[in-house]
Amino acid sequence: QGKQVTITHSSATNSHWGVAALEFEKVVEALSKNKYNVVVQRLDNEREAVESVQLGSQECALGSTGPVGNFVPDIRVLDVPFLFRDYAHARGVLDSEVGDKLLEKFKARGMIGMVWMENGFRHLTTGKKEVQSPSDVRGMKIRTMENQVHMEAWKAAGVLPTPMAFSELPSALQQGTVDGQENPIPVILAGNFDQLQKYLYLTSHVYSPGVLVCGLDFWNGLSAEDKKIFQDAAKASVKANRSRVEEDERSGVQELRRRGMEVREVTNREAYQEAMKTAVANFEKQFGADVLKTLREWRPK
Amino acid sequence: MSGAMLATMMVMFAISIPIAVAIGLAAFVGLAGFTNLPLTVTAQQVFVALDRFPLAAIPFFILAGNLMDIGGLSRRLVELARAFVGGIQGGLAATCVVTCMIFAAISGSSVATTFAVGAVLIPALKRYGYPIGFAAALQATAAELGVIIPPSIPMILYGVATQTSIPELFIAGFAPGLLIAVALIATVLVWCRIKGWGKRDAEGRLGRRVAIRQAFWALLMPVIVLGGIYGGVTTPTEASVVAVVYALIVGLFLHRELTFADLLPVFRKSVVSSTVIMFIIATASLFSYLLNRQGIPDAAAAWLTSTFEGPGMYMLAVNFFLFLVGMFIETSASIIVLAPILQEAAQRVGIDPVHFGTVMVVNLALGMITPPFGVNLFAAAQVAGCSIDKMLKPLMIFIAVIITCLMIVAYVPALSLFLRDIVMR
Amino acid sequence: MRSLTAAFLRLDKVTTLAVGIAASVALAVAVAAGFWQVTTRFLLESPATWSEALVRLALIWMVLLGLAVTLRQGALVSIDIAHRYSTGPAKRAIEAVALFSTLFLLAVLFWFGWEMTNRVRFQEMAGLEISISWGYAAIPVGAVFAAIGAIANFLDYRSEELEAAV
Ligand code: NA
Ligand code: NA
Repeated sequence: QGKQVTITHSSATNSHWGVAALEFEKVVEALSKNKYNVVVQRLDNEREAVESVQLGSQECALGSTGPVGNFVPDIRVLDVPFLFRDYAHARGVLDSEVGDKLLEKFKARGMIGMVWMENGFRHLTTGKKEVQSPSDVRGMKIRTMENQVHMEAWKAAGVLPTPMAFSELPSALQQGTVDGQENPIPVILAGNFDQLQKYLYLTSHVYSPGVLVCGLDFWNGLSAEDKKIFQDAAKASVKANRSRVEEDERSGVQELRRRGMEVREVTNREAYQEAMKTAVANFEKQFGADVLKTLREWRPK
Repeated sequence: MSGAMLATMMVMFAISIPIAVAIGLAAFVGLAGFTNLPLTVTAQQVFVALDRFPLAAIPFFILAGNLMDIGGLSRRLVELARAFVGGIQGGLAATCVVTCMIFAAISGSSVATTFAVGAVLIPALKRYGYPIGFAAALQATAAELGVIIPPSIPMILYGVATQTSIPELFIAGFAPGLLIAVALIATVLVWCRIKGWGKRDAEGRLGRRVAIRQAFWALLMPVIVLGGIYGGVTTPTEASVVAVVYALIVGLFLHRELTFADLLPVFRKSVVSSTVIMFIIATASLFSYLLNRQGIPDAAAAWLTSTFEGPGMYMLAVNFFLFLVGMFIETSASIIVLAPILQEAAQRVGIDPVHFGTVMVVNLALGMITPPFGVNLFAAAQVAGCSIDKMLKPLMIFIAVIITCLMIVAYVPALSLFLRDIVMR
Repeated sequence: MRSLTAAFLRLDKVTTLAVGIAASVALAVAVAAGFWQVTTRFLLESPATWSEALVRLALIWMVLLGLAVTLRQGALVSIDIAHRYSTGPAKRAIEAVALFSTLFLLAVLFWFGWEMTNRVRFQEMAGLEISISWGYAAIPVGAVFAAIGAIANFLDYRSEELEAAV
């Protein structure tokens, strides 16, 4: 039996995180000829997973960047709404030297940022009340992540952003404790939110990145040859993750429609962007106007 | 390693070392002796276990229970239940079950139900001549209804873990909850006849009308707490805070039985009771972390699903397995880890996911009263001031009753599903 | 020896009283923050963003500080058949073993709790935007007071697990 390498993710085996972890396992074991025995485990608490990588109680973790900003504050810039036009734009930036520079910052916190992954673009859903334009969301209680950037942006749009543990969200939506929530399609689909929410708006208001991290001590203990193996596996893992997100987004919207959800295309994303404008000034102060501009206007070379 | 951990724990239990300490040390032995994981994991798991918002329901409902006790709310609710069902021999024991049902509709946690109801009923049962071990065991068992009758924290966890509709799970819990309540009432009534307990139960009861009038503010509490949840004001966890504040207001200003001078002692007492439970949860978290790291629950579940085919056998095997798990592992942790695996296979053999969820919750609720690790036992022991071994004998009978009910719930799917099919389909 | 015992019990009286009050305050803070969360969302329609994190933080402190009081009262539950049916030196021996086990666990929690508190200091607590070390610190701090409470209970034995009838 090879040396055990534990990697955790926060979702079902058959999900955009599960398939990525399995691909990582498959490639590492194949390329290293079973010198390493990769063990994939599910760990719902993503904060705990990142902390464990830092401590070295597990070698790697993959998942959304939700809690990662609390470890590496620089990556919060990626949470700014309407930063990326589409998947090509987001992935292009993250795979370029801009993304690499951000991954470099993980080292100071005892981790290696291996590759950027993704949760997908986040979309808004609501229960009883239909939103036809951004002005309709004013005064609505929308569950957001405990993420300062997200909350600030929604506040600017007049929403009452309500951070809440994900485990409490289903009952809160059911009982109407909050009027809506926002998440990527794979999460909406896997969470069966169609039973709790009537409307889905394809707002794509913010891109939710993911990341595969490994412990710095573990990494430093690898030979150059083995490092290459893990890097290749990480790349294969991203591929599996992204193609699953695409598939979920395509078939997921249809599936949600089939299950009876009213899906609203949002042709006028600029209106939402406009609604969040007052927050943008703050973000420019916080992250640097030039940095945001570079990210927004990034084009493939 | 799991063997060594289990053996260490059992030896420490046997020599009267506190359960939380025994579990924590056994896990530490496993961690330090059999893995090369960093030992900082000990502190990390304690933190992670406590750093969960839904856990707040435990201290809050305990505090609410103590405030209701001193503020005279619980006494009035018990008087009310007694006025209606307490008139026969063993009526007070039956009252305990009925009051737990009312509370179950307020709280999503069995521990909280144990504290809230037990604070009044255990002393009352003692006063009327019931043995303390019986009273505590009955209270621990009846409080299971807290998670079977909605709202229910474990059902919410199951719904989230397996993507099953939470409202459907809630509705499916009603009939099994009623079944268990009726079975428990029947058991205690017969038991009291045989033993001759509770002959004076009918003495000193209030008239129904007086009881209702007196209990007005207390009766409004379920309305406010449940209304808060179903009216979309609070989450089930937040409902426990509302319960605290409501009990404070009624006790201080409406019943005027609670004084500001009582507050520090009540808070202190609630801190101790909460700590007893939550420190076990904290050290048990390291224990189950190590089991999970070895993939034991996964492997066992995988073996189950590949070995037993057909719904009948699968149901039996799963129930046996969960019974064993429930003896040692805390309910929420078991659900999060096992529900996705077991439910997937259940669906393959043709078991409805909502029905399966109900069975799983009823089974793991049973785990709350099976030694050595049963949170309801700890809670009831704490309230009763009674050691767990005094509870063991009566507990055996209650466990047998619940197992019988569990089998009915498992093999008569309609019991769980008929209400859902009427309301939701 | 006797005066040493008396001195220790005096020390415990002060620390355990203070820690008990602190833990009660932590519970009160959690209640206040939780109620504030419901109020701001429902009545004031401007949901607090920090309240949930504060509830969690306060309750971690409540448990770890509450441990001192709990141990002082001998209130941690045990399966105490052996203790109850033994007498004289055997009973005292069982109490001593329980004390040493408890102290060992507390030492582990102190040592590694301290190490964690240091290691995680750059991690922010979501919602409160303070270092998560403020949460982890409850473990080593609580362990120290808990050890005092445990020793005091050995010197002046109580088992409120049996006596704390309501
Ligand atoms: Na309930
Ligand atoms: Na148990």
